[in-house]
This record gives sequence, C-alpha cells and structure tokens, in this order.
Amino acid sequence: MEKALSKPSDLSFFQRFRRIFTPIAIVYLVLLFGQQAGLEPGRIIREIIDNPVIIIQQVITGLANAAIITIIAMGYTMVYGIVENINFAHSSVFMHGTFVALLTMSIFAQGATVVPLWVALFAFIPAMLYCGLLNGLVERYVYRSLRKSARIVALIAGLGTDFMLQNIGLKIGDLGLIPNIDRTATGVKFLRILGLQSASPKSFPAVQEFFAGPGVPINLLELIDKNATLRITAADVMVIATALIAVFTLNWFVRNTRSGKAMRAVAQNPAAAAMMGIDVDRIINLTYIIGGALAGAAAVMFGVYNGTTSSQIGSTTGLNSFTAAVLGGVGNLQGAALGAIFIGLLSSISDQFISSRWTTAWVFLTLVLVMIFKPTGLLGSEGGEKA
Amino acid sequence: MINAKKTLLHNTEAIAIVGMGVVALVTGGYNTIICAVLAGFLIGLTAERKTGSIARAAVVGLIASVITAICGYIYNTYVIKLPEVDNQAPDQIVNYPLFVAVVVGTLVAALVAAIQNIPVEKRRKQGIMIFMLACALLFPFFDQCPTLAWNQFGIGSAIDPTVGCTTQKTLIWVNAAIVTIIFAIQAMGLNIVAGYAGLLDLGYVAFFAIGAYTIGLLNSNHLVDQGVMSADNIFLKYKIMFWIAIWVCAAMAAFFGLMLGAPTLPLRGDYLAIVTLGFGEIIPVAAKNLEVVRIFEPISLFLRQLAAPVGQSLDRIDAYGFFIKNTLCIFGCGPAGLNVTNGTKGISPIFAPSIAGYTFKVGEYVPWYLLALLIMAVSAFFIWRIRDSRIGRAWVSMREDELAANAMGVDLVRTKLLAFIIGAMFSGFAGGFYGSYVSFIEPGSFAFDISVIVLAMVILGGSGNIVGVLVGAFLIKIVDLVVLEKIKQLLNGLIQHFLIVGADNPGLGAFIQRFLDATSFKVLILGLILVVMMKVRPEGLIPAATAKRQA
Repeated sequence: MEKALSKPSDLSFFQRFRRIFTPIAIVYLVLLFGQQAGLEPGRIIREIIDNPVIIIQQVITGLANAAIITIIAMGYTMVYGIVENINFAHSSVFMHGTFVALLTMSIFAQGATVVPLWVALFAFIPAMLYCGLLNGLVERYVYRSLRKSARIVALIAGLGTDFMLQNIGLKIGDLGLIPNIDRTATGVKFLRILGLQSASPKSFPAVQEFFAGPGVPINLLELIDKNATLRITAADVMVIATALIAVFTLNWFVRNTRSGKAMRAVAQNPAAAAMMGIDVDRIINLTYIIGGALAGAAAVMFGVYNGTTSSQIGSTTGLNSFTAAVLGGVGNLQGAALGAIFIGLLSSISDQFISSRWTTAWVFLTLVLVMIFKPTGLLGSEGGEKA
Repeated sequence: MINAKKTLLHNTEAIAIVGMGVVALVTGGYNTIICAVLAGFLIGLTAERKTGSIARAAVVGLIASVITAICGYIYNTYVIKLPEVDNQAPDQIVNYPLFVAVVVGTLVAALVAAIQNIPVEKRRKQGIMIFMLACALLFPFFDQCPTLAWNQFGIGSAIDPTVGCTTQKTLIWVNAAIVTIIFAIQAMGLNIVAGYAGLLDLGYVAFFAIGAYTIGLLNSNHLVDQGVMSADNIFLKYKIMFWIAIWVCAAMAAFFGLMLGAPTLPLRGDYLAIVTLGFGEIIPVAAKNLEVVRIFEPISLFLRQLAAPVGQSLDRIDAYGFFIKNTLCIFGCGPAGLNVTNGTKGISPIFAPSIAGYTFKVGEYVPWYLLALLIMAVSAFFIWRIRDSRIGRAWVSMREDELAANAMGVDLVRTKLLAFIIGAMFSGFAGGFYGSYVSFIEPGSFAFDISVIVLAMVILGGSGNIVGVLVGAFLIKIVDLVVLEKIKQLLNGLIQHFLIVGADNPGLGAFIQRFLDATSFKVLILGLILVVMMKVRPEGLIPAATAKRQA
C-alpha cells in the first residue's frame, strides 16, 4: 500500500529502474521461451495481415467453443458458490452426457450421417435429465456426508467419483448397439454406433444445414468477395443460441424464483438459511442437479459442434471450463460467461496462430497467471476470497 | 470411532484371510507361500499385548494359512487347466508348497504376535522392522521360480533354469516388487505433501517424469548423439553417471517444485489441486513436443517474421534482408534444432547403474530389487527423521490448524513450500530410478492416472504415516500388477470353458471377454478406493499417531 501511494519523484533511481525494467524483462522472457510453444508475434501479425478473414473465422469458432465452456463453467461456479467445493466429477458427468446425446441422436439417425435439427434439439431432454440425475446422485451419496469434514476430503472423494465415472464411460464405449428397424427386411438388426474399441473416438451424426441443402455452410462473405470463405454452420448458430438461452434462463431462475432465492441465501449463510426454514440439503442437491443438467446441455452442444466424443474428453474440457470459472470469479455466473469467452477465443486463436499442440499449456498458463495476480477473478468480489 | 480398535482387529484379520485367499486362488503354486506369509504377518500385527494372544494369533494364522492353501490347491487342480490361464512349468503344479504355506503362515503369525508382545515399545518396533527386513531380503528366493533367483548369484547353477521356468513368467513377484518400491518412494514423498502438510498435489507424476527425463538425458547416448555432451566424459566413461544423475534428478524435480509452488502455494488449498493437475497434464505435452528446440532472440525474430513470412514474394525478403541476416539464434541453431525429449519415440536405452565392476542388466531382477530396497529404506529413514524434526512438526501443526500454527510463529508459505519441494524431490528420485530400471521412457508412461495411483496409496494406507503409506503402496500395486492380470486370465478361461455361446458366435465371445477384462476396471477400483476411504475411514487403514489420539 505504502509503495503505491508514494509519488514517482520520491523513488530512488534503482526503484524507478526496477519498476520499468521488471515488466520488460518478464515480457522478454515470455517471448524468449514462448516461441518454442508457438508464440511468435511477428509471424502471427504477418498471418493476420495476409489473410484477415481467418481471424473472423477463428472468432466465430472461439465464440462457439466459449458457449460450450460457459455452460460447463456455470455448473462449476454454481456448486462452488454454494458449498465451496470444486466438483471434480463434473467433467465426467459431462462426458457421460455426450454418450447419452450420441445414443439419442443415433437412434433417430438410424445409420444416417446427417440428422435434422430437431433431433439435436430433442437430444437435450435425455442428456439433461440423465446428467442432472447423475450429478444429484453424486451429491447425495458422495458429497453430502462429507460436507462437514476437511475440504481435502471432499476433493479426494470427488476425484475418486470422477475416476469411477470415467471408467464406466470407457465401458459404455464398449456397448452401444442400437436396434435398427429395417422396414423392408424382417426383424430388427443391430447397429454398432460406438465403434469397435471402447477408448476410440465415436462420431456424431452431423446436423442438417439451414439453407442450401445438406452440408453447405452459410457463406456471408461471398456477397463481398468471391474468394473469401467464412463458414457459419447450423451447429455454430445452435450452440451460441443455446448458450445465450441457458445463461439468461439461469440468471432469471437464480434472481426471481423461490428456489433461486433460497440458493442465494444458502450460499451466503447456510445456518441462517436453515433457520429461515430453507431445506439446505434440498437446495444444495438442487444446485448439483441444475449444474448436472447444464453439463448435459453442454454435452449435446459439444457433440453437435465437434462431432466426436470419447471417454477422455472430460479432463481437457473440464480444465478449460474450470479456468474460465476462476478467470471470471468463482461463484459468479456472468463471470463464468466472461471467462469462457476469453478461454474460448484464446484456444481457437492458439489453435490457428500459435500452436495447436500447446493450446492446453497456454490455457494452463492463463490459469496460473490469474491465480497469482487476481485470485478473485475478473468479476469476483473480495468477500468471496476465503483463504 | 470409540470402539475403532476392537473392530479393526477383526476387520484386518478378515481382510487378510479373504484377500490372501483370493490372491492364492488366482495365482497358486509357489505364490501360495507368499500369500500365507502375508496373511500370517497381518494377523500377527493385530495381536494385542496380553496372555494368550500368541496362541490366538497362531490359531487364526493356521486357519488363514489353511484357507490360503485350499485356495492354492483349487488353483493347482482346476484353475490351471482352464484355457488362457498361463501354462506354468510342470514343477509348479506340485502340492508341497501348500504344506510349506500352512506351516510358514502359522509360524509367521505366531512369531509376529510374539514380537508384538514384547513389553518395550522401542524393542517391539525394532523387532517388527528386523522381521520385515528379513522377509524382504529372503523374498526373491521364494518367488514363483526360485531356482532362477539362486542362479543369478551363481548358486545352484547345476539346475538348468530353463527347465523350471518359462522366460516370460519368471520372478513376477520380484518384478512387481521393484515397481511397487518405485511407487512406494513416490507415495512416501506425496505423503509429505498431502499427509503431513495437507496440500493436495494432483500433478505428482510431473516430478516423476522430470526425474525420469533427467536421467534419460544424462545417462544415455541421447545427448551424446546430439553433440551436446562428450561421450568420454568421466561419468559416462567409468559408468558412474547413475550415482551422480539420480541426485540431479531429485534436484531438478525440486527446482520445478519451487517454480510451481512459489507462486501458487500462497493460494487456498483447492486451487493448488487444480494448478498441480494442470501442471501434471502439461509436462507430458512438453515431453511430446520438445523434439525440435530452437530459440531465437525475440526482437530480431519479431522483425524478421514481420518482414518476410514463409511463402511470400522474394522482393520483400530482399528489402528486409538486413533483419534476416541478423536474426540471432541463441539455442539449438543446427538445421534440426536441438532434440531434447525425442518426442513420442522416447529415449532408449538408458544405461543401467554399475557398481564395483558389476553392471545391472535388464531381466536380472534380484540386484535391482536389492538396490530398490536400499533406496526405499534410506528414503523411509530420511522421511522419518524429517517428520520428527522442527519442520516436520511445523507441517503437522499447520495441517491441523493453520491459524494456530501461524500464531505460534510458523511461516505458512515457507513451510508449505518446503513440503512441496521435498515431496517433489522424492518423486524425481523415484523417477530417476524408474528410468534406469525400465531403460526406456516416453511421454505416454507419465499419464495422470499415476498421480491418482500414488494418491490412492497414501489415502488407503493412512496419510501421515510411513508404514501405512508403504502398506497402501504394496496393496494397490500388487493388485494392479499381479492380481488383476491373473483375474483377467481366470475369467477368460472360465468364459471359454463354460460359455457355449462363444463357440458359435465368436464376435460375442470376444466382446464378453473384452468387456469383463479385469485390467480395464483398474481406474474404477482406484476411484472406489478413494471414495470409500474418504467416507468410511478418512484417516486410512493404519492411521498416524496423531489421528489415533484424536479418535
């Protein structure tokens, strides 16, 4: 504090020198070692100048990624806001959701590679129900009895749950025979939709495009420049629209409904909330269920957007989402959306311009930097920080 | 928790009998002896200090040994005949090890109970230690294929080793024991971080990988081939590099622990879990991608790339030719840069240690085993002494109550950082030994599940207690390396033997076999251990003294 108040004229030469030199040295070192991980500003600027449309394309991709990350991050942040517990199982619940979405869409697709949009929209129902239920069960049977014990205990139990769910997901990958009702032949044939290897990636059917027949993207820039291509697919639109709907619905729910108000009361002071006649256990369980349902929605979006899933996707997506939640300020819904936009853009731009192999590392670096310099996050309040 | 001690006795005995019975059922042969000894040891440990407890332990030990022997007999008679189960050499389908198992199991139970009855606590502990050490030293000579172990010392060379044992299945327990010890050293290190200091480190494998890569770089021809290191430096020339490099491994891991811990340890505990988790994911990424390392001076690089990108017209390059000529290369300036980690191909072979003219060899397990045992003993001693030192007491007080510890003058950040660094150091140390032992390292062998396995060892055995951690390491790794593999073979054999559906529908048979593959449930079992332990016994199977006092 004292340092900040002192005027520049009071500083000695060395202090002034350090103040200017330290940031320069840090930037220089980051550039020196960052180039190994693809951080070469000269090349990046050059590429953007040479082909500016790419950056628009990457922003669209980044926003679609951000939409998915937002929904998952809101699940983390809601649970953290109310019980101060990082739900390690969240990423695996999301992974299970992708499998439910894949099964649902494949049943409707019956082996076709393209499905109409309503199939993807319908897949939200089973995925959200399943994930909500699963997260609720995890809360009821894993976390509830550990709420009073040390924080590390709940963390380890959550980690264990995460591993169990991951292994179950791997085993689900082995199943996945859906009946193919063949109308011409007699009887029911079975269609293998989850691949031959349990760990191998599984493909989603694509969503039909809005205009110009199946599989053709909207090309806005064609009106201006014939050579520029800018793809906005039905998946882009669906993912971003869903995320907006989810964010606004959730905000409305938390602000205006009885249960939402109860949630905020429990987050502020569980004991006082219990005295006011709020069933704290039920509210906490509801929070987990809503968080799980959000993960289910994100799972459908992920499947439609990326077109593939496997039992391994949980960890990377989970780390991205958690980083977004911390960046925005844990416990803050708008913050989660803001953090997700940052992380989504960072990863899509890193994939294109920096180095796709090091994207995870750049996201991780962001996480560490946020934790060091602003542990409360962009929108977090000082009161939320409890050491 | 009030009558915890009473229930523990019966639990431990029941677990010992059932567990070792199952192990004997799926392994059989000479392994029955090992199972009976373990069951006897566990039963003896639970003996209370009162008259008649030795006799009771002997009786329970006898029951356990007989059950184990019966299981071994079932294996020898029925299980061995199933298809897919390893066809062991003829000398192993004999039943005399079963009688040995009964006798030895009972004796061990009685002996350990007798040691437990020594009135002076210090002597009692010493007795247990000496007994365990004797067992550990004798153990390779009673493995599945005893003759081979004897042959490695030139004893009993009259027996042709190829008669007794097929090449692949020799000394499975000793091999498993070496890997177990490597993990046990890690578990003891993580115990400092998680058990003593109460910090959740989920990226512990990162330090293990750093250690392994350090020894991979120093003690192999990789850097020599790159022209960075001379082949006739004295360390490589006289084959003493291992003994130097293993300390460098520890130092490197400690350095990275400092770099990661210093900024993140002042944060709250659950953030540390995520940061270390991320770090654990980054290190394999780095190991995969540091294949071509070339570093330029950034400002000149910036100007050059801005001026002349790849694939642009040449006139622009001419115009900015000055910058191109003056791009300063700092590191890895050769045509292919410097290959640090060799990407996914990994580094191989890493030279084995050499002592007094004897060089360790791949496949000769007993010398490796003895070396590993020595390293583990030294580590355990070191950690035990740290635990009782000023810093060790500071860790425990900090874990119990940060506020009170701070008020008593414990510098929280410094204390946490020391725990983190020392924990990382042991992981690096174990990594160095692991790299030398397997002689081949690649990024894929440092996945996240190693962190969780080590964490599960600490949690299962009892965080904050060296003996507990060692027991946890032993249990988990034996299940992981031996039992699951054997159960998989057993199930496959049963399916092929009884399931007629597999005959006319080979696809379905193969599917059922793959689906019931016991080794693929490893992660589920680990997760289950973590959850169940947290819910039922968060202090572990063998709790630390402080936790006992609190209970």
